[in-house]
Amino acid sequence: MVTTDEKGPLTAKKKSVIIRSCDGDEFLVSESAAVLSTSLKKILEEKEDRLIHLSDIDNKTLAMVIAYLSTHADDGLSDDLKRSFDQEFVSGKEFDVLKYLVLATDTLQVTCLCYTVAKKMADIMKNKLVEWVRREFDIQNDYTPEAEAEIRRLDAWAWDDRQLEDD
Amino acid sequence: MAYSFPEEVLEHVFSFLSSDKDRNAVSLVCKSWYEIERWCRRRIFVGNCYAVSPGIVIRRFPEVRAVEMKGKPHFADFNLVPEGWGGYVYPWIAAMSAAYPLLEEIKLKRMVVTDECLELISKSFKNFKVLVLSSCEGFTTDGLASIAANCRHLRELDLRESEVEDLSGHWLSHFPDNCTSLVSLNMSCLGSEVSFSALERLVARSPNLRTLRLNRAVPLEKLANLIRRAPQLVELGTGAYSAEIRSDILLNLTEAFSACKQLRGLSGFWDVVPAYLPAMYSVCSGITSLNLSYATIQSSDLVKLVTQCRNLQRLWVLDYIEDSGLEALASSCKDLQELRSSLPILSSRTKRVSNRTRARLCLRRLPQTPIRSLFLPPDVKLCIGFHRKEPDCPFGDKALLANAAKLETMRSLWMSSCSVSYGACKLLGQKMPRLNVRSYRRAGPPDSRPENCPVERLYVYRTVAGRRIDMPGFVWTMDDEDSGLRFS
Repeated sequence: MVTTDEKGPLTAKKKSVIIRSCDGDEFLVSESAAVLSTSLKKILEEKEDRLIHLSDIDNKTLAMVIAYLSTHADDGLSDDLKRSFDQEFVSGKEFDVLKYLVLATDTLQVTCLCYTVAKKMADIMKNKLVEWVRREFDIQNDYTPEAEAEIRRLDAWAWDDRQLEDD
Repeated sequence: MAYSFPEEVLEHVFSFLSSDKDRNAVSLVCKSWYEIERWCRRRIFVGNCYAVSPGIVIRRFPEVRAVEMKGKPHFADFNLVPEGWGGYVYPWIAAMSAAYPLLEEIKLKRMVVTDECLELISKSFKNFKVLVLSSCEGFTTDGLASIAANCRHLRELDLRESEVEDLSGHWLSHFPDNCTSLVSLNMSCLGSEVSFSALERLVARSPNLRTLRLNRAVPLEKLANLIRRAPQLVELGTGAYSAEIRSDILLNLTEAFSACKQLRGLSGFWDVVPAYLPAMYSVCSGITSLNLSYATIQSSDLVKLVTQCRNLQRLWVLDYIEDSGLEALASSCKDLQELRSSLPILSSRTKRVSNRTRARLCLRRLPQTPIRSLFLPPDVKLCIGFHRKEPDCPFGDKALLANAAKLETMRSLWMSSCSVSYGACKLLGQKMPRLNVRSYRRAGPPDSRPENCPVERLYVYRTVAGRRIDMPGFVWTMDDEDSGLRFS
């Protein structure tokens, strides 16, 4: 299956590439959008083949990244519009979705999107308990209860938060 | 789908977590996160310099760029902490100069900072940018000269409320001619005159200067020339705001102010001569913060001034404001959020303002003034400047020992003229081995005194660094070598 991006049908003049996700779906993307990813740019410079297979990015995540790349490659959009697109892009997304996105942007080396997504993730992580973070990142706690208690005490006593500004 | 986060992605996410609390939470997730987090923590805040040692901080966070630290207890502001008590920053600077060559910021509060410290700072950190010394002491203008001469990338030098020994006003001329990076300079605490030509040249070659707080010795006649060179200023602290009344000075000053379109905060105004206040009326509509705590200004002049400042959000005044002033405030300054008076305002007046604005009232009181009663509308948050623990508290042995466990949840507790005995302190030290208990006495080691003899002052704080090594003779620690909460 080939899904065209928002630019519409392929014209003879416009070069395109096909990007395949790890679950087999293929996306038709203009080259001008693809090269906004440093990794894709390198691949395209090195080989003739117009089909790029990404073995660790799933369908849903890839579709989002491509939507981002296509928007940013669109010369008809002002920088302001692109900025507000970025805001919209991450707002309301589940933490789980952001996690896959940030990994994809790291793999594809899309610096500005990586920045936007990492920042959004940090915003969500603010004021969350350790247990929440462990659950969301699916991480096993490998501290002994004693070791964890010791770090908690050290953190609270040695480099604590500012409690009273006036103090 | 299985995934694992590369270190650099986690570092990237962590870099947007700015609060210590969130960073601490992240380091507790698992051992590998602890490692990643500690290597990328760039800022640390130490609320009590004796709660931890430089070695512990440096071992845990090897790549720190900004350090903020506090020394003496809050009560040092009210002269309740004896001379020579401690809070020396030198051991920290010495350790950091070896460990953190890329350090950019040092912010200290209530610490003893010597010229030697300042020289070491100025020579150890190649990319040093920010030095804030708040209520610090122990240094002279010679130390400041080293900072000026050697910190080529200095952006902020703030000496707020520090006690600086003024040896020479020429320290400012040590800023090299190619130093153009200053964003903020606060020297309002200095007593003597600074070299005015050096100041003027410095201001003129600092295109990014946003904050300039002068000291009282900068005369009003010089102010116009100075701000003419920095029309981009956002915060200005004037020097003495007085001069013989002359129309040329007034005109000159009026013109200079009218060019400062970005001004948002004003302070200073020592010895204010009200006739010169209209010179700054042109900038008043932009002012959001006005600090008149050094200005003895009568209510009628104050009213004229604040009615010009329609967008005022914070106002600090001496208690010259009176009812008429408060009414003018209420009707002119609809955005007022904070009003501080350095003397208590009567509750009836308070009410009148806060009913019409969203004023947060901060009543700064002298410690001797007990609060008898205060009636406030329920939507006003009361924030009393002197609150953590009353210094002359009736807290006795029984209460102290009964609340021992709670002490671990506070950064510190300070008591003076208290009815706590030496014996109780000793007991507390034994009961809570991680608390550091110190008592003060003027004569004789504690063992030579009876157990029921009251201690003069008591300071309890929690620490992971163990016993202080820089204790003066009049301070006695009440615990064993390996304890955590300390009393002194």
